[in-house]
Amino acid sequence: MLFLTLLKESILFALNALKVNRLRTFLSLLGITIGIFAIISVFTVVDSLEKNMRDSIKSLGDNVVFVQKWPWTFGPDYPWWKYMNRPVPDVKELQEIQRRSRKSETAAFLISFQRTVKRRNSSVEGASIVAVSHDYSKVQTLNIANGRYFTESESAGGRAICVIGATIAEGLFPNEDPVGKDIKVRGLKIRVIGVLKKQGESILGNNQDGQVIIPVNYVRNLVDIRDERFEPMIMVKARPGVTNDELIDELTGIMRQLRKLKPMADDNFALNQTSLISTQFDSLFDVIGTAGWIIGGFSILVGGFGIANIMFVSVKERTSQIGIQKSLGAKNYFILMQFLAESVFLCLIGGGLGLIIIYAGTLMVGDSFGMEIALSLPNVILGLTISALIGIVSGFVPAYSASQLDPVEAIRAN
Amino acid sequence: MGFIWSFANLIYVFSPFLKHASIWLPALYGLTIALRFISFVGVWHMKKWGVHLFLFNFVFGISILVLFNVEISPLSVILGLLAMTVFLLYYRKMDENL
Repeated sequence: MLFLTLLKESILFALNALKVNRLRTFLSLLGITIGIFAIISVFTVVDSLEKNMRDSIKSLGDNVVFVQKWPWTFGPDYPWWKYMNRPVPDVKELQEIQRRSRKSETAAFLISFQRTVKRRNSSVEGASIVAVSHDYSKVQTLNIANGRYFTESESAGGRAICVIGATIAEGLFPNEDPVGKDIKVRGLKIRVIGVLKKQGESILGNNQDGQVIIPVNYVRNLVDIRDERFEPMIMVKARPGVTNDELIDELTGIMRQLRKLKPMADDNFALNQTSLISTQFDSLFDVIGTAGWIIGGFSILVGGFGIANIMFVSVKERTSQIGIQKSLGAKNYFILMQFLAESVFLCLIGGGLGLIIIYAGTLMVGDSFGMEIALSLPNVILGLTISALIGIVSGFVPAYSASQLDPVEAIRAN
Repeated sequence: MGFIWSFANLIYVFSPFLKHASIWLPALYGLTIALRFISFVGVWHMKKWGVHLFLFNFVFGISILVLFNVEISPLSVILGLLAMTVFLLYYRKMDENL
């Protein structure tokens, strides 16, 4: 109880000392403010980018394997010449996969290309036309806000119908319901039967807002769906409880049989999964995070030296006061706590200010980068604890030296 | 050397590696660095509490890393044991007061 009373009293002393020297307090805490601002702002941006990327990858499906021509590996040593003569996946292979696979829940064929979509005088340039087989809606989550998805007979019959994304709907039908109306792609009329919910920007550019989803059986009469420019792929979704690796093992066997590959021959297809993308991005985010960590870490250290300096000045200024307190019976640890509390408060206020600046910055930036940048709770905890720790480290030596002062010499100082 | 060791380690509190392990790990790791620094101040002033605090912090630091399943650097363990040996050599000559 006595300890708590002394602790409370030493905190009050510390607050009073901070209030008396307002300008000095402000200037000395600026170092910590800048340090915390530098490091936590980098972490905030990196975390937001990472979250956005993970959400984008998740929307692709983390239990989906993509059968494609090109593998999703990047870097300077990409052996493109090995892959360029590979055949592209086709609808027959999809049908065989659907027939033979025991580990997949569902599979869909997809090609995509960009075209201008028109309606009367309105047009949307660069719309992503995605031609899909019927089960696409089971492989990918399609949140339909208005209307419906294709029926099986519509998909099989290759009807001229489509489901459009929110951006296309806003661009072509500003003040009306698009369902039941026609749009034009390459001069051909296609009826809108559904509109997707607005999804927002995606770091991988795979958002559905700018998509026009049409049955692949309609498109195959207009274009060569085996044309490599349309990036044909088969998306295979794993059954619940089946890992991607198990599915990949099975698909490798099926695809090798379908393509009649000899036992020693290399695969002439790529089985991609979203974890390949996240692995590539993880290393990038680690580099950015490390750069922020080094820059911010040194800023914090410099700020800490500033606090230590100002605490030494504070001890020197109040030496006679310390002498009086000790002569009246103040314990060493009381003096120690008093100065330590002052230093910790200084740093906490500095760190808190840094965090407030970051928070204000995130509010001002909003989603102007096409994604939400938010100050997360772990970063707030990190910022505040680091501030307090810097306060302890930088204030301990001055506080300890103050606590060790001889009362007689301290009173006579000055 | 101990002070430099503590200051150099302070930067590691922000390491993405620690942050990914747990949201509380950077804070706890920072606490161990602060305690280590304080223990060095105590040892510098030839106080026994400095050695006690160093020993407590050494065990506390390793426990945290084990608890959060983080790889322990052999160098830091060796340095810690080395410092402990040196402190114990002078332990009897140290002051018991704060």
